[in-house]
Amino acid sequence: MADGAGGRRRRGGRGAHAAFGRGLWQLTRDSRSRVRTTPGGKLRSVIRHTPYAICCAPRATILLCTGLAAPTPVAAQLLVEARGGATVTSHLVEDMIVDEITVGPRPAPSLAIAVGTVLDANHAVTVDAGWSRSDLESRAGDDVTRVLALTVWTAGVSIRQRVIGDLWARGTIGALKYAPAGDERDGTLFQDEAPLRPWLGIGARYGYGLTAAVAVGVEVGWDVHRFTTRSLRDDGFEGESTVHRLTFAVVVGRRHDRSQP
Amino acid sequence: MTGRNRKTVTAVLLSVAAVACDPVGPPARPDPYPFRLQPDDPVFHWPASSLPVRFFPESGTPLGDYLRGAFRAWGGAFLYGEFRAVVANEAAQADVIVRFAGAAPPDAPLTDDAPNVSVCSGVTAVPPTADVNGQLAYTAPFVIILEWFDTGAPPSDVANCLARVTTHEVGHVLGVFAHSPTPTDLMYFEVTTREPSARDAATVQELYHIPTQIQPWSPQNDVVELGGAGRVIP
Repeated sequence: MADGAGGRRRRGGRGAHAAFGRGLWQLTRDSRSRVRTTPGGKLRSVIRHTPYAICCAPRATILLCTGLAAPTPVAAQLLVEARGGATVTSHLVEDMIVDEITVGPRPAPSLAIAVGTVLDANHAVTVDAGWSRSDLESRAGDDVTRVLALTVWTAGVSIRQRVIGDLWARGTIGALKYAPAGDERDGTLFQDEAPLRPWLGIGARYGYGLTAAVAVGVEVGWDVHRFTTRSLRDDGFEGESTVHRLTFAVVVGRRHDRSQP
Repeated sequence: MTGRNRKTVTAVLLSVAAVACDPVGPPARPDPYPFRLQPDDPVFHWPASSLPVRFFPESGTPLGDYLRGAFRAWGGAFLYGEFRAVVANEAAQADVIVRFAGAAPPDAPLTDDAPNVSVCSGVTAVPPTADVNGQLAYTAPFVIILEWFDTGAPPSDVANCLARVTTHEVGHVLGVFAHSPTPTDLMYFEVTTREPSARDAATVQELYHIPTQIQPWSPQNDVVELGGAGRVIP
């Protein structure tokens, strides 16, 4: 292990930064770096200052953070987007009480905003926040019964990559929060808990630049998370169901060149 | 696409696949007990169109607090919004009237002491039914009557007993007209618990997933012909 670590240290320059990357925290403020050494002269730690506040630093994240800070021309572009569309969600629960019952949200209007940075001509990273709201329904045969109004909030970090031409792919990881209407929770699966769940998503977007700074596009996204609540567990449900969401959205985005006043 | 990008994409797809393939089936619930007094009695539960059910507690008593506890307890027995109830401010708007047979009990907080079942009792008066435009319907609100006995027991024993019995009587109003044969169930005739058991929950869940054959009372009902007598259930 010591030899391997030393090998990484000998790379010098950018390698010296990567050498300490695994598992450390990096406090960053400006574009300078500070090197700490032990009394014997061995490298102990390196703190690199960048324009970003705190980056957790497993190696991939360090690469991401340093990429964000890299003084390339396109890295100075701030990306702001708004998305509006509809989200279709699979069943949250499948049950059997006399008849088969499925419970899930109706198709929901959805909105999202994203703020990020263009890494280079083919990559961008954004922080996303989303919202959707519709009625949760239970279905037993032909009977459809409204359960409650259900809002879903999402937050995540997305990495986007150009696939070809104006077609982009996206991968997102984040957290999803169920927010059922407070006055309707009693007697439902959300009586005791409104879960916060991790989620993963992928998406594809076709974008068209209206001007050098403004673009529009259409996006289709799919994401997945696990679902359960305390009420379901209390009723004997074991494990968690897998919930899929499919979102169709229209996107409007704008790039700001931060080098300009 | 570079080698590193390929690895990233593969990792993301594998992660998504790992969480995407894990079906969960319905739980194994206990067998429900019969909720009808007689096997051929018509089934009653509150239809979704009648929710929330409005309970009017006698004013100046702790009945409102007992009822809210009962709603919360029975709410935990349902998952899909089959039953909701609220405390009503006016008797004229109520679906269920709740009152004491005598004076209100002394004020006391609820405790977790061992149940004293001999200091209170309660009954639910189920109204008669009638033919209303070709459908069987109740002709009046349900009435819950609670009574407490001055046996020298601590006031908290009385309060605990009344809270338990209120929740039990609300179970009758839900449509569980029969008693459970199991002493640990809330709907056993001698009430020793404040929460519905898993069997109580399985019973009301089954009840609320079969069609009701009696409609609730409504002041607008135009009674054509009496269809049955009322009942008093302890």
